[in-house]
Amino acid sequence: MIALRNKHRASARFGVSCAVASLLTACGALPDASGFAAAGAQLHSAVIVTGDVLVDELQRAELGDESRDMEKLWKVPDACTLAMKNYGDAIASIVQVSRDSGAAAEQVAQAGATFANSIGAVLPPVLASAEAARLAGTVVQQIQNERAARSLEAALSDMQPTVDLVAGLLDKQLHDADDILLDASGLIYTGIVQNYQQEISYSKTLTDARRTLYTRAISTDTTRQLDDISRREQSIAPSLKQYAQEKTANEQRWKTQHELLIAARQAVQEWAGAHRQLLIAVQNRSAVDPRALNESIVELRALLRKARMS
Amino acid sequence: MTDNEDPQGCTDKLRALLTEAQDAASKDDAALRRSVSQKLTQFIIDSTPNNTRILALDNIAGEASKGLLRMNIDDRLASISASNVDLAKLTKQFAAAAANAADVAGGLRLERLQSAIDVLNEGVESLRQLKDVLDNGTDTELIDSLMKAEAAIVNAREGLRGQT
Repeated sequence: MIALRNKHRASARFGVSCAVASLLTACGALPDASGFAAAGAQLHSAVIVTGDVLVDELQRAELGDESRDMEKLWKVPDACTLAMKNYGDAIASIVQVSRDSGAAAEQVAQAGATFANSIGAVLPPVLASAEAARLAGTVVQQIQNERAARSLEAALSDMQPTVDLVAGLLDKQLHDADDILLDASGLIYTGIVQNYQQEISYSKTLTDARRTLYTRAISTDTTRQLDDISRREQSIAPSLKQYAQEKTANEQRWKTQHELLIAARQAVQEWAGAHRQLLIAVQNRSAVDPRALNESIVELRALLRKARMS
Repeated sequence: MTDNEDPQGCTDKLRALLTEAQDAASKDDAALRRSVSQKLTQFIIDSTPNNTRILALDNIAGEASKGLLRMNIDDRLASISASNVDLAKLTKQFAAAAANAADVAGGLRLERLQSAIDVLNEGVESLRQLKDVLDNGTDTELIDSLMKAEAAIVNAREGLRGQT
């Protein structure tokens, strides 16, 4: 009787092992979607900062109406990238839940065995062994992996056309934003030139006068005139220095904003690409290569810091 | 035409630039407008001397330069506004997809708890089978221990059920 029971146990163990082996062959671990979720969060931050920069820059260009319009208009891409971020988080949570499930089942099985042993009960070996607990965990995980994979595949493949559309639209909007910042920078520059137009013009007149004197023979009169020009140049030097500083600051700000916009546009394309890669990885039950995405996130993060400070 | 107030012929230069500006304003070409705007700003830098007439020309050049850039900005704002309509629709699709994915994750969490309960059910069943086998024997102490273990596992199971 006992021999027969042991034989059945051994047979059952073999059967379960085969089932596990076939499941393992059918579905590997789900691809890590945390990079995709992080990229979505970073993209949302980039869009928020871009909106702030646009509003500030239009105000700086003394375009109050346009600045207010922009504040309202940018709420849409802001809300869209927030929804994209939430979508990425939800996709990542499906993977995470399926990854946690095996460990949880194993823990429950082991806890039961440990407890029963501690009060002196002799459990059937198939229930008590650590191997059985691991087996239970693996079976649960593989079943959940497969279910999660099917759900993920359906979600990702349903959304891929939407992802491509949104990537195109956001790219266009960020391109528009880049153009606005370029023209706002031009407006600010013209304003700076207007503010210092008298000093600039006067400086040119003095330079021309100096050059004319250089062509004349040196005399007491030309020396006196050159001294006079130097004194006049010194009197407007602080204003011209201020002009140069404002001009440089405007150029630097534009350069940082332009870099941010280029990186944000790149991040949109990489986010859409990551979605496509994730779909292929889920379909093939393979892993995704997060390197390009990670590099993009790091670059964008640095530019966001810079743009916030400028 | 040059005179004492305008020895460089700035008036003629500006007149030519304003004709270019008018042409650029009538075309849907942001780069052209930008280029003419830059020429007008450069005009302010280059124009001399500082007399009332030249300063007035500078002001006209400045306003024309800004006007061209402002046209560009207004066009880009209109473009963003137009694409916002489609973007708002896609936002709804992402929100729905996020809600669905969250439901799937929630469902998997419930399944995970159910799986744990199933494991505990198997444990209870195994203990009962073992107890049935031992009932025929005389080891009452062992049977008592098994009953306690069964009760503990049932408690754990009920606790997990409470989370589903």
